[in-house]
Amino acid sequence: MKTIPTFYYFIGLLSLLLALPSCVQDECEAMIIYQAYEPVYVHPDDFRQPTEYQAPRDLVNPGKIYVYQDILLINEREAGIHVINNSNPEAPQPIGFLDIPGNVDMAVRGNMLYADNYVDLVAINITDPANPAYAGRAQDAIPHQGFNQDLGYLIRYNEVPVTEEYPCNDNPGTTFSRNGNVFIDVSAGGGAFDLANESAGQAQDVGVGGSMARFTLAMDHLYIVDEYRLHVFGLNVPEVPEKLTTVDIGWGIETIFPYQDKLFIGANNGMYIFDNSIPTAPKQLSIFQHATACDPVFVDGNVAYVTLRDGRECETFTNQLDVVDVTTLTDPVLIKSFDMHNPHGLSKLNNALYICENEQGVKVFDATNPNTIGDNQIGMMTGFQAYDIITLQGNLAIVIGKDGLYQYDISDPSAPRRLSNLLSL
Amino acid sequence: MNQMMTALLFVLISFFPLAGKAQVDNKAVLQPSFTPRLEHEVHFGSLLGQSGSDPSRGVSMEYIGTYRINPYLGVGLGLGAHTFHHDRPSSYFPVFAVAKGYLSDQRKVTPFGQVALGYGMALDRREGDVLFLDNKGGLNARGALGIEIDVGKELGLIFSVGYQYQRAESIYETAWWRGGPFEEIRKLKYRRIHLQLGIKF
Repeated sequence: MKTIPTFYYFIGLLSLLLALPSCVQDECEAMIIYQAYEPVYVHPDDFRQPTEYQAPRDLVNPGKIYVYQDILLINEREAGIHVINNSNPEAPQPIGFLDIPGNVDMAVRGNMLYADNYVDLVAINITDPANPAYAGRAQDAIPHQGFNQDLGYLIRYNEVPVTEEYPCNDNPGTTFSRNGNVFIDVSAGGGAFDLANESAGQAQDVGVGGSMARFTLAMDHLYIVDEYRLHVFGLNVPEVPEKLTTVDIGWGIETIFPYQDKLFIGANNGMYIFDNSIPTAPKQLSIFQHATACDPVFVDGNVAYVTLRDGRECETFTNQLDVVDVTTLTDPVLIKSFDMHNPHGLSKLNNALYICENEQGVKVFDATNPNTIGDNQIGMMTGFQAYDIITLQGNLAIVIGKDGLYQYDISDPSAPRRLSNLLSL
Repeated sequence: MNQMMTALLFVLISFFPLAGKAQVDNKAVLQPSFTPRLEHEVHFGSLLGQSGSDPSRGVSMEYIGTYRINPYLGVGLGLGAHTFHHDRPSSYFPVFAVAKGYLSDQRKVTPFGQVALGYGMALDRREGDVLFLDNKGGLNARGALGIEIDVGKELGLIFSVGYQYQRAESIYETAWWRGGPFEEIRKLKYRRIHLQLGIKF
């Protein structure tokens, strides 16, 4: 039996060896979904004009709420302010709509309504709510994200999902820019920055906002927080607020709440406490730090109530109520934390704490004992999505959410009685 | 891909003499001295290649059950466990059909060639913050040349060098601090030199 020539065998082996060097390279392709953020600009010529007062329109995307005497003001995000006669909470009457492009927040002092108009601060006289009069404007009062000489102010980014394939080793990373667009890996979340929040002021000629505010009036000054700083405006000339000073705070600034001569500022990483005894020079006293979250604040006496919620814009997974002892303002101390569903705005009236719990409505807690408040739910307002709430002396609660405006008689906190429901105007 | 096919083609060409040999030695096949039999093999090996710009190594472990039809040809099934590394380690479990050709029979050292085709299965797992939502395997193909050394009654040592190709797809999510997980889909093609040492019984 003739043995097969072994050179066949070695030919095969050699061919393998020759071919291998270029054949032993792994190949990897990745498909990653990115959010492209396309910049949106607005030219000053398009908005730097007297505001218009229009007929009432439907609530489409309600934001902050503000109460001034018998007038209820509801922000329509990025569009303007609904003006409602709320002298009878059981039958609120829409009066009109202030067309203010880019508006997300407001405050009222002495019949003067202050509202943001993109990067400007406009003053509108509402002595006659049926005929508000444009009074003046402070240009460039609100910090902006950028300015282009031809295009105008950069006001936001629109999210555009993009799917791309890359060699695995060429992954550009979670954030990069190209052709003026910012790309953020889907994990980066994103979404337009929500600059709107509301705060509560309690002076007589000053209205009342909710706990989600970024505007607040205190000590005859207007305070506005952006994501990093506190801006102080003088109102000596009510028609034209004058920026007096800017205070660097930190990052992730969300809300501002004035209480007596103090300012409580909610941020992603904690609650800042400022001494505002000198209104033009707020001075930080302390910070109560917590896990990263969005956190509206409400203060009553020596206790601060802070809700922490999760969500993409809040960059965390925490949902809870923190009850903080602020007896010593330089050393706030956590009393206790309570798990919540998805708390947003909150308010307190007498011995009841009202917390907006997103699609679960509003939960009412007995606030007699701060150590057990979260374990003592005594009532609920349900059937709607609750974003923020204002409670007023006279036992009135006003709740706003994407489902509309709801007003309740809270004479008995354990059994809130619905007075009216404004779904459209 | 073309180069891989070229390599496999040369391996297949090396079987042509076996076909001739089968014809020439037809009588030998029918001789009662050879009895078709089931043969078992267990292999351990290294999977060598390059991932990105860096050398990469993996390990393999296989069992092959071969039915020796005649002195020159056997067919069978095998299963194994292979590990690869590209950014992160991955394991696959191939199940394959194999055809093996022997250049001679009843010699102390028997050269052979082998081709196999199958599917490499993958398992889901979590690694740190990375969760494989779906770790799909894929085509597994290989060819090899080697020798069997008879060391005793129905016992032999096997050495082989070959080429391994494994496809896979991974979909995984990573928790990211900005608030939520994200998904990435990766399509992989592993191309490796496969060095194996085994026993046959």
